Order: sequence, then C-alpha cells, then structure tokens
Amino acid sequence: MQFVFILLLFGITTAVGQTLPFLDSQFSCFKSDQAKTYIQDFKIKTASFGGVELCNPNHDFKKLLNDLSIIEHGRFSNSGQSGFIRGFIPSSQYYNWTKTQILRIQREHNDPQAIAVNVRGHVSIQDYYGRLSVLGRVGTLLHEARHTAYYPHTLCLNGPYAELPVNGCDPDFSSGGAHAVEMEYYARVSVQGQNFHPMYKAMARLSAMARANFVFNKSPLIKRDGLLIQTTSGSFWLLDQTRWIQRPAITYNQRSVTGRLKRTSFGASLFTGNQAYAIELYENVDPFEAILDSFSYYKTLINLNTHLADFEEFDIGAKRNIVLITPSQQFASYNFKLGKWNPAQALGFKPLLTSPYLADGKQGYFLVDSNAGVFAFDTEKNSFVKTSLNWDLNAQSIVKANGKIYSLRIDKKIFYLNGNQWTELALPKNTMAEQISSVPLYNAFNILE
Amino acid sequence: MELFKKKTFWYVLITLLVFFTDIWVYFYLKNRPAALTQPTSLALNPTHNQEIKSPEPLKPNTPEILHPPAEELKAIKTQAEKLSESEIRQLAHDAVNPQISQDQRFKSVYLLAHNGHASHVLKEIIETPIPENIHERERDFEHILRAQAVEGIEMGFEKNISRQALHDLMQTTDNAFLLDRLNRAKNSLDGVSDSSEVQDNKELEKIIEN
Repeated sequence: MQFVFILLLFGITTAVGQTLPFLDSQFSCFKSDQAKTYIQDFKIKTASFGGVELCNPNHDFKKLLNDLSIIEHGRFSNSGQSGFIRGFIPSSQYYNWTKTQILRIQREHNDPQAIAVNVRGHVSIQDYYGRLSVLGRVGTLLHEARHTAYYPHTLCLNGPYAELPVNGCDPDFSSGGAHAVEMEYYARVSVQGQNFHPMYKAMARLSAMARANFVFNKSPLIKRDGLLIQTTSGSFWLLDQTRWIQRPAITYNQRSVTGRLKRTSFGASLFTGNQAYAIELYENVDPFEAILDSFSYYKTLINLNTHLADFEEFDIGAKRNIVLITPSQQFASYNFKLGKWNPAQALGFKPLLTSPYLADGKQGYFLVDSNAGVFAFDTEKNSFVKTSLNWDLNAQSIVKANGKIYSLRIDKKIFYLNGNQWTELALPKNTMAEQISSVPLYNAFNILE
Repeated sequence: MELFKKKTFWYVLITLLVFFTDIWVYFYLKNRPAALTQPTSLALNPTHNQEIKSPEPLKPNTPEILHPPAEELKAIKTQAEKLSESEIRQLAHDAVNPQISQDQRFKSVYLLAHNGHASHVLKEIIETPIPENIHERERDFEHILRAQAVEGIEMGFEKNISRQALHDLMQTTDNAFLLDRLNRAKNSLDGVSDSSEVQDNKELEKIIEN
C-alpha cells in the first residue's frame, strides 16, 4: 500500500509541479499550431507586428505569445481564510475571459504615451509595451481587456498622479474597474498562485501594494485613519471605525505633557514647540512615560534645538513634506535631496491657526489668517499661496478619519459631515474634547484594549 | 475470475492507470512552451549584458529542466548566498541600468535580496534617483524594484547593519510608498510585526477574499 501511495504522489506532483517562466528569454520557441491558436483566439494582426515570430525573445510578437501563455497556464488555488472568494474574473477563467473581451490585437506606433489602447475591444499595443516586464505586460492585457466593458478611469485625487489633468485612477477597488481587475490578478498570483516563478510572485505582490496606493482614490489597502481625541484631562480616546479605545495622558516626571496634537506618518505625537512626544496607540501602557518621537520626521526636531510655532509632516501626492514655522512668522521646508532645511522665508502674516485638512477633505498644510483667509503650501513654489477659500472661524480644527470629515468647534463639540449636514459626534461619557487629529492605523498591528 | 474479485488487483490497476496518465500529462505539458524553464545555474551570468544586447533565437529542441516553484526558490537562495563580491557589484550595477530589461533588473535585486550580506548595495540601489520624465508604468516599476531592495535589507543576516541602513534611508527618502515599505521592514526587524511579505499577503488576502 505504501508503494501504491508513493506512485500516486509521484504522479500528482509531476502533473502540477512545473513553474512558469519569469524572463522572456526563459520561454522557448512556440510551436506554430500553438501560435495559430492564439492568433485565432485574439484575432492578432500579425502583419502589424512584422510577421509571426516564434523564437526571438526580443520580438514584440514573441513577447505577446509569452504573455498569452502565462494567462492561459497560470494556476491558482481556491483556498483562503474565509473560504469565500470574491472575483471580478474567476481565477480559472482568465484566458477565456480575456478571449471574449479582446476582439483584436494589433501593433501600432501612434500613441507614444500609452502602453496599449482598447477601442471597443480592439487593443492596439504601443511602443512602450515591449519595455515592460512579463508581469507588467500580462497585467496590461487584463487591464485593457476590462475596458471593453467600458469602466472608464477618473481623475486621481491622491497619490503620485493627483492633480495631473488626465483620468488615471479608479474610484475604488469595489467598482471592479480596469485597475481593480489588474490588481486582483497581482494579488491572486501572490496569495493563491500555484505554478508561478517566485520572482514573478514577488513582483506581483509588490505591484499590488504599489498600485493600490497609486491608482485608487480610495485605497483598498487596509490602512485606515482613526480619529484621535485629546481630552481636557490630557488623556486620549481613539475612535477606530466604531470602536472607542482609551489611552492615558503622556507624563514626564509624573506631570502631564501638553502640546499640539499632530498626525504623523506613523501615528500621532504631541508637539511642544521644541520636541514631539509619540503617543502609544496599539497598547495600553499606563502610566505612559514620554518618549521622543524618533519614528516620524518629527525626529528632526531632536537636533534643531529651537522653539517653533508650528511643525507639520504631510503628504502631497507621493511626496512627503515637512514644513516648520518660527515664532517670528518665518517658514522653511525640508529638502530631502540635500538633507537639510531650505532657507527660511517670511510668511507675511501671523497665522491664526494651522490645519492638515480642509472641509472638503483635501489634505496638505493650510494656514488661516485673522480674516479667515486660507493659505495652502504649494510644494512646487515652495511657498504658501492664498486660496479663494474662507475658513469657518467656529471650527478649531478639521480632520479626515474613518471615511468622514470631523470638525472640532470652539465650543469643544465634535461634528462630522453627514452628506451636507454636520451631525454631532456622541463622545464617551464624561469626555470633553480639547484637540483632535487623524491617525494612520495599520491592519498588520492589533490595537489592544 | 478470482483475480477480479481481489481488492488488491483493482488498487494496482487504478494506480497504474493514474501513473501512466500522469506520465502522459508530464510529457504533454513538457512540450508546451509556457511550461519551460532553464536551469537556474545559467541564471547568474556576469556577461548577461551580452545576452540582452544580442540574443540568439532559441533552438526548438532546447533541453528543459523543470522545477516546482518551491525547488526553484530553494535553488535561487542557494545561488544567492554564494555570490562573490564581484557578482554582487555586477548585479547592483545591472539593477539600476535602464538599458536592461525590467525582469532582468528585478532578478538582480531579488538575488541580492536573498544573499543576506548585500545591505550596502541594496541601500545604494534604493538611493539611486528615479529618472525623471519616464512613463508612469516605468516609474511604478522603479518603486517596486526599490521596495524589493528594502525587503532585501530586512532579510539581511546582520540585523544591526540592516537597522542602520533602514534608519539612514528613512532620513533621506521622501517617497510615501517607499517610506511605508521602510516602516514595515523596520517593524519586522524590531519584532513588532511579521515580515513585510507576510504583512502584504495578509492584506492582499483580505482584499480578494472579502
């Protein structure tokens, strides 16, 4: 019986054990009948590629054959944590689905900015296509195939393509657009792929993580923003979705540390003017002795040895920015390439308050003057530029968290925007809010009570 | 007729049928182009620049050696750990050379990442400026390449060197995505969380399975 078992095992493993190639040069020559199948299935205009090429790994037609074979022969497991697989495209049907969506493939040279273009199912492969990795090309084919059912892109509101005058993003992952189909493929290759090369899987995983940050206006990655409230007693309450979690005040030599509550890249800190002290969000450490924030860019304060009026760390697009404001109304931004601060410039006014958000949810660094005028930091001009907006002087601060816009009013009540209406947020019993901030929270880390 | 009544006979018959079917499938799949790989011992060729510049068409009957993915990974790790200093330097040079194919560049970083003693060159790769005025897909690739390099530092055998490299990179990197990768790597090294790869796959699983 043992012999029987071994024979069965050998048979099974030989059938499923083969790894798909990773490099174009690893694919061997195609047989002409296999190439014919692909030509017929996708109505490939071979003349536009300069003819059929079965062997040369640098030829675009051969690269296309490689890509189609990856789509055809990639295998995925169906196991998962929840046992329920949501799929825009069934994992066993990538080839068949692509075949139904792409009605023709041809090679063109008329759009130097595009990788490939889909016009009603007719996909034209452009010059950039051949420069991509195998994974990039496969993802592009699936992406373009999705556009046959329309799924147009929209303007990017976040990330490196924000403020570009092109529609390059999808609203979110759930809408199942072209970026979602592409990202789902990458995620499946990484998590469920059975016969992909380890390097292909690694590239797929990193591609999924990268593009999740770049091409969705609402990222599917489970990095969420919680609402952090500092109470009048100095302690904190964190609202994570619908869950309230309490944290103690920061103490130094048994005295409560006071400062401006600030969102940082890794959580939140209290900014005292000289230093920033990190707030522990994930564990309940009571009493919590002050520790300098050496995790975010507030760590640059450690060596500055000066008292500041304000300091802000914020992202615009893909770029991290740090700006400080001195008590004499001068500001300076940090130059990462040179590793030092740019020369200070005069603001020209005394800010009444500063904010990392506007009421429409836009993120950045905003100053409000005594006339309620709003100035926004412009990274290209490296200066504050007056906007046409006015600040509601009843609002002490505005943050975006839990998918909502929150406003702390000067009467210390917190409201959130519910459609067009501001609704008061019910706080835990006996809680009086002093300051609010949003904080980035990662699913990889558990927040303990 | 007595033979047909014996269970053993049927067990052996079914097993032989399965066995020969699998042998047939094995040879059938072997002849399909998509299933072919070259032995990884050929993957590390210091002169592979020549391979990219003037490749020769592959012969139809090139011998194939097939490796299941787990064995492929094991072979890559074995090879990566044996890299000489000159090979490390060559791979580092190739990784940032835009004239080389994206897959070849990623493979260079992947091998360096699994070497365990290449944090210094991986740091240099991350610090190499991303070219301006490139296509968005090419820019995405540059980020992905550097993210793999960050994981390579995370996997370094000398943890203090890895920590210092990550710390230095966090001072001078202004790219939000790479900072996120550096933070994940740092948390993993500090024992606060799983490795970056495990973190990623947990998050990706939730996206595709919910």
